[in-house]
Amino acid sequence: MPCSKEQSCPSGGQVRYGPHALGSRLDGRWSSCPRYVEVSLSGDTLFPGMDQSPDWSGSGENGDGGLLAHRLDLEEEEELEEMGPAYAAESVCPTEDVEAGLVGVVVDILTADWKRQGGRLSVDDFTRQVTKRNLCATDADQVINRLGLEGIAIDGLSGKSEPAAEPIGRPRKPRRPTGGKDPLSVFLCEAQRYPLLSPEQERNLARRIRAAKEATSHAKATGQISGALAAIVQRGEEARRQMACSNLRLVVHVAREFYKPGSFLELCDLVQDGCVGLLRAVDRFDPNRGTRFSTYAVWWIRQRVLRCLQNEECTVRLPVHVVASIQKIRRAKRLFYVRNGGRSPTVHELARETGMDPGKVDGLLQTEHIYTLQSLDAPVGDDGAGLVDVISCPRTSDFWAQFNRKLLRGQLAYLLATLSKREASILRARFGLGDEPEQTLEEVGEELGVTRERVRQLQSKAMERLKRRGKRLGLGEYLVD
Amino acid sequence: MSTEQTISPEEQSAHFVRWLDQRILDAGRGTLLSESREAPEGKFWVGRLAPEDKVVTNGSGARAERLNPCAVGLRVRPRLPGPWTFSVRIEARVWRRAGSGTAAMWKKSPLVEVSILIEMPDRSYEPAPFGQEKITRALTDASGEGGHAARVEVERECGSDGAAELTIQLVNETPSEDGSVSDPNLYETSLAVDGLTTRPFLLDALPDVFRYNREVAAYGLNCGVSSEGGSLTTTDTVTVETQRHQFWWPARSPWSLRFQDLAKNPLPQLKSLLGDLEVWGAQSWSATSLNARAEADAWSPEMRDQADAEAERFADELSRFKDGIAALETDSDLHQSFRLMNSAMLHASAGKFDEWRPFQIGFLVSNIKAVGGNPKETSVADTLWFPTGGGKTETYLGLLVAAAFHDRLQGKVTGISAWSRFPLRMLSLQQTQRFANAMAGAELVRREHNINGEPMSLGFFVGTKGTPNVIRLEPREGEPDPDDPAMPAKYQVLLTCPFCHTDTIRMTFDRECWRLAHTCTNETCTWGRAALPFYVVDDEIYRFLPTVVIGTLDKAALVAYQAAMRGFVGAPVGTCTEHGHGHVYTPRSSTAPNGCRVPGCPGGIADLPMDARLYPPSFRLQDELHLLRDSLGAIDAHYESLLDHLEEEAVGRRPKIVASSATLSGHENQVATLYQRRGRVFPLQGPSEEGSFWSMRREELARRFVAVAPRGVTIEFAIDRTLTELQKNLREVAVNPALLKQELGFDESTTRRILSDYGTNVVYGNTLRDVEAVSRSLDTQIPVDPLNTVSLTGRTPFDEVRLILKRLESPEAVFEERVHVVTASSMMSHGVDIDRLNVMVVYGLPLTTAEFIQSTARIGRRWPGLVYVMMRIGREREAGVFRTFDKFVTHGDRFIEEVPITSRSRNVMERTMPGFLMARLNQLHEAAAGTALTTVRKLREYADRGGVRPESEVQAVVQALGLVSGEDEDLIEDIREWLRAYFRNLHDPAFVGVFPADLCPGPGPMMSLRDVEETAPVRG
Repeated sequence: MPCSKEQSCPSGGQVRYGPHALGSRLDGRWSSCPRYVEVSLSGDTLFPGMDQSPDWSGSGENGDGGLLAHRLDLEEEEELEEMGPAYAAESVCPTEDVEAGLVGVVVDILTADWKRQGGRLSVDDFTRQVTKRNLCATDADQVINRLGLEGIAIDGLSGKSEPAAEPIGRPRKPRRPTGGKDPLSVFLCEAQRYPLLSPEQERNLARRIRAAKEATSHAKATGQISGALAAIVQRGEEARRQMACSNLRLVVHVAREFYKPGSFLELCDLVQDGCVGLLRAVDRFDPNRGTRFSTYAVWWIRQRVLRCLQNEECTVRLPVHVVASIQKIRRAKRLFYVRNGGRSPTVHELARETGMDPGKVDGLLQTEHIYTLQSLDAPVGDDGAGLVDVISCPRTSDFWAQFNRKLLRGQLAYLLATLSKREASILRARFGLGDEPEQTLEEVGEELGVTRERVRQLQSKAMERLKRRGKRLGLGEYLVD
Repeated sequence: MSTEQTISPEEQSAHFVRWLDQRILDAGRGTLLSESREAPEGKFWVGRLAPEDKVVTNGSGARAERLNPCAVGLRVRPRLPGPWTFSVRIEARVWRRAGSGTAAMWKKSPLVEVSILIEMPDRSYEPAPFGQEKITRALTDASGEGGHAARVEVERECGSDGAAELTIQLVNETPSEDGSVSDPNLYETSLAVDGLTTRPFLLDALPDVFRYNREVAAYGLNCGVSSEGGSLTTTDTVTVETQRHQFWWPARSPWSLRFQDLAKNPLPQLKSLLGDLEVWGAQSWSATSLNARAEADAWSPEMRDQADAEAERFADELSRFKDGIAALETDSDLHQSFRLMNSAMLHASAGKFDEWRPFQIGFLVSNIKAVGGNPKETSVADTLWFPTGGGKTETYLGLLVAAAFHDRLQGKVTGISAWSRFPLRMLSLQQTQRFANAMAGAELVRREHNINGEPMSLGFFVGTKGTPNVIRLEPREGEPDPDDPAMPAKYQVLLTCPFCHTDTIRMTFDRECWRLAHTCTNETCTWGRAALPFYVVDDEIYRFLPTVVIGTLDKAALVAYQAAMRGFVGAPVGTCTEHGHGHVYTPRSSTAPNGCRVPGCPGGIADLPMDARLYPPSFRLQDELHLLRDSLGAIDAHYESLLDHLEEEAVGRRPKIVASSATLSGHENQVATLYQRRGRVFPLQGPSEEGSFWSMRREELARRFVAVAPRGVTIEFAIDRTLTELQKNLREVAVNPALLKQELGFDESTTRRILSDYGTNVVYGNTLRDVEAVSRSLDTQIPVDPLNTVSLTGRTPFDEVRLILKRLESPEAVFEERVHVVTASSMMSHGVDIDRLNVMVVYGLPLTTAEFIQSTARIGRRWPGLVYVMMRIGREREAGVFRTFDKFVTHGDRFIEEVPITSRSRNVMERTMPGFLMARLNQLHEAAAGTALTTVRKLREYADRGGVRPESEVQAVVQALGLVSGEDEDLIEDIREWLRAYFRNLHDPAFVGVFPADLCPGPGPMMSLRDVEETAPVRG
């Protein structure tokens, strides 16, 4: 089974998804508890980071709180960014002249909108212009100020008008879960409270989010934020929450694709990680590309779910790049097998096929065994025998040697115990019994405060005694081996 | 040759055209060459004769003979019975190779001229050879090779009337296989017959034949024939020259049709014109004059009857003109409208012309009663028939402007007065400009005379490929983005400001009024800086309902699914209380919650500013009527009935239909089918080819048609070579202006003008494939550099067409930078009027005569044109036309095929039925229901209240289509069955569709009138 696929993305480019997809079968028997964290969808607890100003800087770690604590491999994320349609849009702060012109243009446009709409200007009218024209926060602030001078207030931003921005799709009242009380049913029941968004609603929310992102960056850079920009940030937070909540069902839908009943990870685990991907998509979605949010978000959700599988599904966690290399080798092996009439490749042939160093290939082939780990207790057959009972051991003699050594060590300890403490310590020191190294007569003499000769005499006497007692214990048999 | 001081520029151009044609012919024959490095067989495309054995052994038979003939000659009818004695003079040359391999050089022999005395017995029907030895000896002497041989062959045949006919041919009998000669072909061949008195052939008696000269002196065999001083000579190409028309009867009294005079008091001028018309009629259509002609031209009794019938039609035309004058005398509003219209046209002409042609005023006055809304007039569809370039557009523009003024005087302060439709996908921008100029003129006059109402305005109503249907706040993919600063410029339609006639148009998007605006930046423009009253977005047309709407015919399909089309057949719901938002329609929850089509409009609905019954257009115009044929015609017939029906239901009247057409064949049937009205044509043709009171033939050359049947080479090769020679000659003139001084006596400025007028050549292809083939070969096969080419086909994007037209109209200063070749398809054959296009190469004869006339009329509009018609001579039809090319061109109108059209097709009914019902729901029932009927649920509720029932719908459709119970029972039963199925779906609680169109038992309403192909579902 190929571990990555090519599929054309809606924007026309080729998108490779699941570059490190866990393509291999998840073998083995795992008995640990499911890694499930109960979440509440009441809002704040789902997105703890939302209590504070969310982190719009792009890494997505600080603001995501507990749920986003999983560290993503940044390098790979960048790869996904490149592979997907170029959604990322840079905010451009133009030169001063252009800037002044652009602000003027936007002010003119918004003034015309205000007039056409009978003296009303919504926050969405404002963010539409700001995001379409990539206005920086300073310019956006200027636009608001200049509009203010003209006596034009933006509903929900300027403070003069009523503060609440137009809500998009209010959540419905909570319902009793229909599918039982299992966590997933509860989750789905909560998710269904949030109505699905129309393309226009999505676009408006995404624009609010982008405008807020820009305002936050500006605030971080300058250390200050105007009232209007603070209002934009607040609208952005609300929009972000709304966008995420309205797409939770998509996460479940995507997670189902990857869920294998009976595997170590429960569906709830995948959904949980998928939510992390969803938040990332919410932060990065560019409404001006003309695609639906779900089209974009599905890639991020998949990426996160796959990453979860890669990180958590195997007993021994391997770095993602190692997994990728192993998958490459496996693919090459399979292709070689098919092309060469069923012959398996040598290490050198694999190295040639994959373009890797033969040493590396060899190492990875060894590592690959991690995927085939089996429990010794895994039952085989119907008679209750375990794997351990049927595996042959070619080095059985070693076992007996070890056993004998252990036995000998015990008897030796017994014999030594029959000697005086001084004699026993002299023998231990001279022959290095126990953990200490062997010592010379002189060293032992220094330690005991006697001459070297005296040590020799004492050793000799003790050996004689041991010989006699040893014969009685039948220690001579050890000498046979 | 006359010098430039004594001849007019038109005559100079005519001389140049003939000179250029001769140069091309010389190149095709090889006349000017005496030696060549290339083999002559692959170089020359006319004047050559292949060896007889090659043709005889070729399996293609007569086709091979046409593609690479071995004989050239003519066919005549001797006046006297045989035996016949006459002389035949033949000319030929041969080419001989000198040297071999890369050093080979071909040399041409001196001209071989041989005269042979023919004595042909009367009794023999066998072909008789003459002069074999003499010709062969002369050829051998000339070539020095020996082996070339030819004969003159005369055959006596019996004509269809039993009279004797003689076929006289020069046959190349050089053996091709024995290798004795280096090239067995004969070149620069011709045959002349002297001393034989002949009588002409008479063309078959087609309808209308009494008007035409049916005599043909001789038929050419693989060639044309010229007759001069009793001598008949073959020509390699068939050349026909047509003359320009003059629009003034030379013997008229001194009356004036100047706009200025007619704007003051038109009646005296019109009465004088009427007087002259009566005098001319008495001279031309009187029984005495017809009798005289019948005697001179030996008319049959049928022809005489036809002439009498036509004389009666002339009397009718005369009386309509009189009635028109009487109406102007008695109806002061009509009189004022007519005068104001003349003032408006004075402005619209922008100084290019300042008077009407008599036929234009004739049409206007004859139809003036229709402007007054006379019900008798609306039951007749009037067609203006006139040669292209005569000024048809201005004529019906005059009528529209008069109607617009009359409407204003009757209290119609807004709304559409006329809807003009063009059958093609894309409307000509030039024509649009002319409409805009006329409406601008009308607006200035309206202001000047303080006539109440909205500004006179124009709407440009075409498909999304031309201009947007709607501009949304949040555009969908492919739609224009109001935030894109480059968007407005993409939809510029007008090239110059219609008010000040300067090139100062700027496109802007007015966000406040949500309008895509053409604005004039000229400080002194009489209109000012506001957006011009010219609307290009469909939505704006619905909102503002411009005085005149021009657009494509396809747009009629919208009536079925666009509720805002109510302004075209009835009245809108009201107007928006917000200034500049225009009319409002039934609210739509997502796009227009308050009915106003401006995004975010907070306004309410105000009352209509005038009586709702005045809203719908009083004129519906159809340009190029002859193109409404086959399936398009059949479907349009239903939609025309639908439009009439909707208007009649809404306001109780039908509009007047005015059309223009290039063909009269089957006109009455076509009009009756399309519009359910009686057809009437203006003006009636004169009693002879010389023309009528309205249009007479004069001496000036209009177009020189040259039919070329390439011999022994492909048509593509002949086209490439012709273009190469055209361009080479023009470049020679550009580099060496003294050439024309020397040859034609032109001074430098004349040469410059000639170079501009003839420097751009058009290649016209019948199919897109042909056009593309030519475009490809232009890149590789034309050895001139630089060669700038452009393509004008249906695939050329809209803005590119605009740029190309602009470039063609105002060429670059340097010849090298100009467009040299335009490859064009039928897209060009309508409405492209550029004076600089005067040379055309037609790739194969167009499939219909109408297309041939239309396409070749694109050139030579101002100056004499030169048209090469490259015949695919292997095809029977083109070979037939080649034989009678002269009559094909001069009698062109008579050869036009009758338009095939029917409205009684069950298949068509099946496709248009959804449109009928949806249109009735949108335009009539929705108004009656007082609420939107956009969903199945709402429609079901309405039906449950008894608002719409199958029986009443059947009745309405049958009545609208004019179906007769008993006669059209099958169709009526189909309609009944279709509606039964529709209502069954409507009342089916398990039905899953959302929109009323989903309930249709088959396909939904047509999106375009060309949407006639059966769709096949594709399942993966």
